[in-house]
Amino acid sequence: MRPKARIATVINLDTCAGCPACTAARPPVEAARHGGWELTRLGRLRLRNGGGRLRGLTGAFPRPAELPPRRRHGRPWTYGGDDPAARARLAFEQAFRVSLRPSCADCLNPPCGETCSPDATGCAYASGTCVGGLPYVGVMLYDADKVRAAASAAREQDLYAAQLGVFLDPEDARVRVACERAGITGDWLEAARRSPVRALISTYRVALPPHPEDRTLPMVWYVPPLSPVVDALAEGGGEARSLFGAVDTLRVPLEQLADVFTAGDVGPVRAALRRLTAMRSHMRAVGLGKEPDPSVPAAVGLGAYALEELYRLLATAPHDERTVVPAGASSPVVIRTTRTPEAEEI
Amino acid sequence: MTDTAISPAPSEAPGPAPPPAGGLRGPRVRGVLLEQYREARRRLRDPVLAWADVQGDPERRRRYQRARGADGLVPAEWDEAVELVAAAYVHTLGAYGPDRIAGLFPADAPGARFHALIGAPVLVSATPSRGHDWADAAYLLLWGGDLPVTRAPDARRLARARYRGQKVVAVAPGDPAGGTRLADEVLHPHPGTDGALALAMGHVVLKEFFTDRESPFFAEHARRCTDLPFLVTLEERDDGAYTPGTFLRAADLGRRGEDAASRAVVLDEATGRAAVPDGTPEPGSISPVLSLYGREVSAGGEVLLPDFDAGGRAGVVRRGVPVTRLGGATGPLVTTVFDLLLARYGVARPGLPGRWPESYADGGTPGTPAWQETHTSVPAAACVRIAREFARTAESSRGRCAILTGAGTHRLFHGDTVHRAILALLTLTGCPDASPGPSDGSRPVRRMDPAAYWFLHTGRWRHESRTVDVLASPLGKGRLAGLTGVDCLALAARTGWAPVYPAFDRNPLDLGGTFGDAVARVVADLRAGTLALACEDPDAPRNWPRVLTLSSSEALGPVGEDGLRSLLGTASPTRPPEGARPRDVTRREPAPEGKLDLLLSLDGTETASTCLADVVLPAGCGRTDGGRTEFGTFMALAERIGALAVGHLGAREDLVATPLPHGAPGATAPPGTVLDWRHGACTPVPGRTMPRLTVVERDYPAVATAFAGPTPDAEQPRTGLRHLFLDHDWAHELGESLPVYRPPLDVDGVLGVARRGPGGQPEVTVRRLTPHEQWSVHSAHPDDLFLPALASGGGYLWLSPQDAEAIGAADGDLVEAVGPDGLTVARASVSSRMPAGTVYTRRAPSAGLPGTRAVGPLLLKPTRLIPGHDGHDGHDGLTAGTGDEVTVIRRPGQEVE
Repeated sequence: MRPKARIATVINLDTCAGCPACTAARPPVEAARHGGWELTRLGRLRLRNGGGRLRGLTGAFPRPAELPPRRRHGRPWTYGGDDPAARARLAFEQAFRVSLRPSCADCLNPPCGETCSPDATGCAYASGTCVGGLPYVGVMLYDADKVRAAASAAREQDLYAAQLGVFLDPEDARVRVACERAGITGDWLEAARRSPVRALISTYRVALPPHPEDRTLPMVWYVPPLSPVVDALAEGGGEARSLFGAVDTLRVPLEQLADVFTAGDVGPVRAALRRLTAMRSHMRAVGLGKEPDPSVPAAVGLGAYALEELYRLLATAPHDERTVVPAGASSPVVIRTTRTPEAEEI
Repeated sequence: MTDTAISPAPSEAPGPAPPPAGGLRGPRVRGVLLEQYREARRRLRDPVLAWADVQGDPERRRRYQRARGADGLVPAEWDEAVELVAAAYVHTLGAYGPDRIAGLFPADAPGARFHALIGAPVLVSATPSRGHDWADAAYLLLWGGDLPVTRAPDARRLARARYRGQKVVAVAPGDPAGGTRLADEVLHPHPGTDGALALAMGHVVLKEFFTDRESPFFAEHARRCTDLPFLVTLEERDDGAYTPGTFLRAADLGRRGEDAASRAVVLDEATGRAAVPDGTPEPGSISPVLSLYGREVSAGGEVLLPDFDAGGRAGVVRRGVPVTRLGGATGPLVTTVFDLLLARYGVARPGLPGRWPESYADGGTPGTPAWQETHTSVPAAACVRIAREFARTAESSRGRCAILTGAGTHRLFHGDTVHRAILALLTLTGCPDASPGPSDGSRPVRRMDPAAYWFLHTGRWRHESRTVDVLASPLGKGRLAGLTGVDCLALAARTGWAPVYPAFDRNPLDLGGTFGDAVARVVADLRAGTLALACEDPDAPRNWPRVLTLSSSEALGPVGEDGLRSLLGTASPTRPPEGARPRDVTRREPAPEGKLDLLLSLDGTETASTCLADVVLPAGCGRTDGGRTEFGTFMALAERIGALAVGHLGAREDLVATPLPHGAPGATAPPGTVLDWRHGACTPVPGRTMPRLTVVERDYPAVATAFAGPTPDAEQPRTGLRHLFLDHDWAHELGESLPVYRPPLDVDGVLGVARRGPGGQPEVTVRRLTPHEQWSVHSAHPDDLFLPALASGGGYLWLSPQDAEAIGAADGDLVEAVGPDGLTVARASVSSRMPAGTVYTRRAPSAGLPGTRAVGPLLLKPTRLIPGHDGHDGHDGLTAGTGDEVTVIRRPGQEVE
């Protein structure tokens, strides 16, 4: 075990208003995208766009799939007729912009030449001008020994789980001992224990990494949006339908979100959205003074207390619970280096 | 023909530039003005005298006015900019009076309170919320608004409310689906047809929660807190049918007492006799009967109700209501508001005559969910389900539902009617209706509908081509015959129905400061003709508004080129006035130019109004751009005004004219007859037949202290009952005394009719939508290609395949759009996303300027001027109707010139 600490971020796409404040504060990653890593037939990692690392010094996160098709500017774009899938895709683009912007994601396995310092003092992060929900910032502990293996997972769909496996649990006594040995101080450990980011990523598992298939192990994660249900389904109008609509009928199709967050595997996305929906149902009952149905939290593998804690974290937590960083990390330090500590081992 | 007719491709002329990072950092002042002011200030050594000196010289005044809208804003020091603005305020207060200053603010903004304190009219730009505190509501309808763009901090609250289990349904007519991503479900009615959806939802609520099964909570609320049990007289017509008359009032039963003419009568359940409730929601000795059904004396009378949706032409529906006679065979024939409402909404009960829908699926009879589908395209099943969910939530949570309305409904011509149909949903389901207003403790506040302000002061009324009786109901009695919109405005101001400012053609500080009884003096002068209402001669310089402060960047959107020339004096082309001459209002030639001395804009970013403003102070949006909040900005202004007022103003007495007090306790049914003292129908009595007049002490040197003091509760106390029946002459005349659906404005009945154009080519009349002005100026979407594309979309006109086929145009062809603002040539962009009968074009020819080509409606809707009768004064800050523009599209003539 080689524990390291890293300041990570979670952005809630339900509260994100689309202003560029947070990403503007990060080191810009210019237009030419690096394309991430890909696995060779021998199971080794190589830069996807080839041509060596230096050509991949810059990159951008959004892949063309997330941007509206740039056809003739100012013209409407259509997806051909009344095909339901085409309409759903249209609704996605019309109603919800998943705004994953080109900026540094503090990757654990960065393909670019710039990286935050390995001892993880974190990137500059000014969120004061954010007009939407403020992002969550906190410490994640991870095992540097596992990074390479995680980034080399054979199936792209396994990368999300693999990255979860890289993170270390600060409550674990062995981890704490290892951290102390590695020089991670007490206030960092304490921050890791109280980390809102860890709660959203590891405890409640409602946050997901963007494009894990790039094998970069990003450290800016996103809570997927609870977007409206498909109009077409509103016509059905069955009474038995739950008040909030089934997760599988959201207006942004699960497949769309899965393409962005889990390399196409809808399982984790569905689970995250179900937890959020369960939280809403539970809190509605509480708010209306009804007896909450215990089967609601049980169905998503959480307890009623956990759902209320999740609600608190997402809705009412004060700023000092949403941003938990050790005192020493408050000054932004970005060390720019031309070597990438993890990548160089490959 | 070549592409030269098209404006440059948007890639070359991109949308509005994104705001500078962090927004505006410091104040900016129009350079020409600043130079002149500095020169005068050096010479006269007094800011107020310097401002007066610049204003006193017509040539210097016009010089900086002509520069408005062009470049030339220069950075200024904070203190200097604030001093200049304070000098303008103090000079205007002294020379013209507080009602020549106006501020456009949301009702609960610090700016609204500041303007209320100095006596300036507040143009309420947004009604924040309807119903239960929306963030705490269990069910929220987001109707026609776009929260993430217009109110970013509230978007965050909305997301949190959703996490707490609030169900959010967005009703998104027209505008791009900005707010809808935060909703659980989205309904997309065709623009302007929301009223039909609201009515059909009301139909479901009335049927399932009042007639099929009576919800105890709703019925109790209806009995205690609404006018539903009130008796309404019926007027018999020659053909034996009836039309709804007015409330039966205590005076009609021979009761005496001062307020007998303004108190309604109910039928008491216990005694079976008429009783007069006192108008308080507390359960008293009276238990009013909601419906006369089962108690009627005869088989029921057939009432005639206007119906505006029958193929674009107004028709009449006949529906039976249970009726009874009070006091024997010669007594008045009456029914209840509730029974009339069921007839209006088409909720059938066995045994009543008339034409009723058979079920929800009856699309041919107005009121049903299936009927609304034919207008709105919202599936009937969805309408029924949402209405049910809304009412069930309200019932089980005892009124914890809310509706948040936005520009998507307000900006329609019939926006007030839509709004009433939406409010009826809240009233029926027992959800409270708390709308905060600008408040100054117990003192009267001048507030005005911005639509009336723009209409009057931008000279829009000069272009009225018709009299307002084209809007009348087929059952009308000609009460509006020959009146233009501005006549109605003046009449409403005279009779005290609507607040219009400036009020009189003299400084209210002078009127209030006269020796003796100022109010009696004003009434005597009005009768003698030595004092006149300012709105009867709005173009006279003494009646101009002089200072306008804006905090919302889209405010000048609906003003149009003529308006900008009239109000601001910009160099825009003028149009000659049109045909309909007002009866009571003086039309001066030539049209005045440049009424405003100062346009102040509070903005955090570069917007359409900042480029027209004389002074831009960084503030707004609740953000702390430049380190100052809106409160801080007004605090600084108040301090400086206080300092300047010491030598120039002092403490003064201000004669404030406010509308008739409708929420008076006990006055459950104030009379709604329009009596015009100007034409001898009565004598002017303040508070009865003309505006209420109050003398208010204004201590200008102490204004900062008052502003820093505790904010009085902005929530206006509800004193009256909630009315569904609007007993007012004008509402009766327009057929809108009950909630009703009026389709998008189509005065000539031409919408959607294919004809032949001048060159013989087919043409079709369609509704033209433009992106809300906010889309083109707000900063939240520079990265979202859809919205800049819409807002600055080059020479493209987006239309439906059906309309394209009707005019024989294909995707990419050139088409002409002929509207009230002239002819535009654009490329057709045929998209199945456009509903038939609607086209979409951008509004502004160049980014950064407000809707310079746009003209708003050429009619002012009289019902916008009458108060809501529902306890608060009813002026909700409906903005000018700009959503109903009509344009004719066709292919250009084939001859090449």
